[in-house]
Parts: sequence; C-alpha cells; structure tokens
Amino acid sequence: MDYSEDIQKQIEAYLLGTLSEVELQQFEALLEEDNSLATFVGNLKEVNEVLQNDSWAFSDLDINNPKTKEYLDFYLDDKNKAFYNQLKDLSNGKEKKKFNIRTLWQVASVAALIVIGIFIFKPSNSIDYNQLYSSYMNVDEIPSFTERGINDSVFALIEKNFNAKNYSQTIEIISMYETNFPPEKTDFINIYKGITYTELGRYDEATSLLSEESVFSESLYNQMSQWFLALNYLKAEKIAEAKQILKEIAKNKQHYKFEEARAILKKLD
Amino acid sequence: MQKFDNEYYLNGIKARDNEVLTSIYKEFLGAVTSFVIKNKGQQEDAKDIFNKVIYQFTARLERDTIEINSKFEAYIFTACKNMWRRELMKMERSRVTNSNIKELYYDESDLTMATLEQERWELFNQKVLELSENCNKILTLFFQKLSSKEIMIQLEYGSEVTVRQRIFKCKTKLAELIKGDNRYNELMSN
Repeated sequence: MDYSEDIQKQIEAYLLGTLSEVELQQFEALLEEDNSLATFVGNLKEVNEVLQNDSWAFSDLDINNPKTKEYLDFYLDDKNKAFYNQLKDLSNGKEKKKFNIRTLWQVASVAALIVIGIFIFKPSNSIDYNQLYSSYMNVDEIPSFTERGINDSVFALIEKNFNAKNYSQTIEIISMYETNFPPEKTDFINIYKGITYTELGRYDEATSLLSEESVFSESLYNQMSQWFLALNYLKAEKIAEAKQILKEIAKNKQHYKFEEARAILKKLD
Repeated sequence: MQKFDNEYYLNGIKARDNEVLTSIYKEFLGAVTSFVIKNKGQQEDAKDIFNKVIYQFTARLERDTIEINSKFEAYIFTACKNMWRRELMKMERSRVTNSNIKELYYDESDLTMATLEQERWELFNQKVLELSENCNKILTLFFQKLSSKEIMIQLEYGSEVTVRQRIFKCKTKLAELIKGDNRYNELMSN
C-alpha cells in the first residue's frame, strides 16, 4: 500500500507515541474513517510490539483458537505435570524419580486454599457503592472446588485465576471447558462466573447467571447466588434492586449473610 | 542423527529421554544462569525459566515440529532470554497495575500464552530473514531502538528521511509476509 510521505510520518509518530494530543485525536479520527489504513497501522504496530528488543508482546487466552486449547489441555494433563516436576528435579541436580500423583493433589489443594482479597471498609459520609461492594465482596468465603471434593486440574486453574483476580482469563477458561463440566457442578461454576462478570463490569450477564435457581435445589447455592446478586446490583449502582434482595435476605436469620445484608441496608437507608 | 546435533536434542525432548535431558541441563543451563544473574535475576529464576522452556518445547513437539535455523545451543539460549524478558515485563506490569496482588505464579494458562507468544516471536523473526539483506539490517537496528541518525551513520545512508522511508517500506513488506503465512492466524488471539 502506498501512502504519502506525510501519512507515513504520521503513522511512524503514532507508533512511536510522539504525536501531540491534538495530532493524536486527528489521526485516530482518520483511522476510524479509513478501515484499510487502520488495518495497515495495526499490522505495523504488531510488528513493532513483537520484535522490539526491550519489551514483550503479551497475548490473551482466546477460546476460539484451537491451538490455544491444545496447549492448555497439554499443560493441564497430569502426566505432563509429572514430567515438569522431573524437569525441576533435573535443574536441581536430582535423579529422575517416580512421580506421586497424590503429592500433586496435596499441592493443588493447598494452592486452591490460598485466598486473597480482604477489604477493609472505611465509612464516609456519602455512599461510595463501589467501595461498599468491595468491602463486602469477600471471595475467601466461597467454598473452593477442592473443599467440595472436586479434584480436577481445570477447576483448580479456574480457582487460581479467580483468586488472583485474573477475571478475563477466568471467563475464558470456563468458556473453554464448560461443556465438559458435570451438570451437578455447574451451580458453583455459576457463582464464580457470576462474580467474575460483576468484577468485569458485565452486570447484565452477572444478573442473568446469579438469578438462576439451582436445578439441584441446593439451598446454600441459592442463598449465595442471592447474596452475590445483591452485591452485583450494588456495584452496578442499581440500588433499588439491591435493596429488594437484601431485604429478602434480612428476613431470614438462617440466611447466608443475614447480618451483612442488614448492615448494608442500614447504610443504604 | 548425530549425537549433539539439533535433531538429537529435539527428538530427545520429544521422547522425554532422560539421558538427552540430562545432557541439555549440563550443557546449557550454565550460560542461561549467567545471563539471568546479569539481568536482575537469581539462580533459581534461571532454573525456573530453563525448566519452562524445555517444557514448552515438549508441548510444541507433541503437536508439531520445531524449525531451528541455528545451533540448538543458540536457539535454547534465545528462548530462555525471551522467557526471562517476559518474566521481567510481567513483574513490571504487576508492580504498576496492582502491587497488592501476587500475579507472578506460573499456571497452565500462562504457560499456554508464553508458548504461543514464543512461537509468534519465532514466526516474525523467520520472516525478517526472508527480507532482503538491506531490510534485514535496517530493521534489526530499528528494533534495537537505534535512532534514524544512528542508523544513517552506521549503514551509510544519505539522510535520515531516506532511513525512515526505508524502514517504513521494509516494515510494510515484513507485515505482508507475516500476514501471508498460514501459521499467523493460529498464533493470534482475536
């Protein structure tokens, strides 16, 4: 593609990040108008990002890419993980030894129990709903898959990404494997997925998932999803909807998060 | 297949042959360790990335071949350098974005991405080699972040404008070559 000297200069300056604010706005407007220029610039940008020596071009997990799934399957395979442990032994100068699968599960269980995200709520005069949400969104209290007797690499990976707040990846991994999940496990997957959508600001998708009644009539699941739905509404600043659910929760002393629901209602009133 | 040629190492990794693997660690881990220690890392970091690179090769060889245009020693060293650069960038990103969250664990999804990124990096570099010698030289200097003036002096161009125009043309050609390769789509996320 032939571009004038002037456009070439602008492209290079754009890629180097040396355009002034006004020039940048003008150039971005041009890119929006001209699709072929936008594609061309995108290609050059990618070349720069991958090949420049002082950085690294990261990519995202893409469920539509079959190669991604193949590699992920490879790395999730227990036999391959055992091989990886042999490599670690080699690097430490140890002899090859037989891999004990129980050890892996013990390690995985410990990893799955490592949780993060303790937030401290600081009261203020005006209500910051996002802060209020954060102070009550405690992922520590969600039962881990391992605690629920699910010893599976995929679930461990979902949980690990979720606990590390890698929410985009959490969604990608769930989407990649969810057709293989046993139906009875979908409830708790939905909790993880629902919270993940909330964290990503995809409130409607979270609402839809967390509003689903369990087909297995598991009351804890239903109560938990109700609570996280209320928090989802809170973060989305749909306060009337949040209050309605919190009032439901506050009616029943045995309900999951009864006290917390009452406390939030007090703050909202 | 001769002992210690590229095929010997790649076949050994694919077969998970303990003798070959032991020789790879013995022969090549030392150079990687020196590099990592000189570049903000420690011995444990070097072992870690070396293990990951070998593991990554195993995953790739399970589904495909690995095309190596150099000696295995140089190839593994470059792959480790890339992996270490990636780790340093990850640490930096983690520090900048959220210092409270420890993201520096390795998991299967991260290994998957690292593998695809390394493959993409190799594809892009293979395509640089397909360019003319002149383009190859000028782009190599450009990606090393030399200024137009420095490139002008080093490659004896008449002016900086000529250098910039040449870089632009070479990069355009490079992007075309990359896009035209069937492997490109396999390696890109949408």
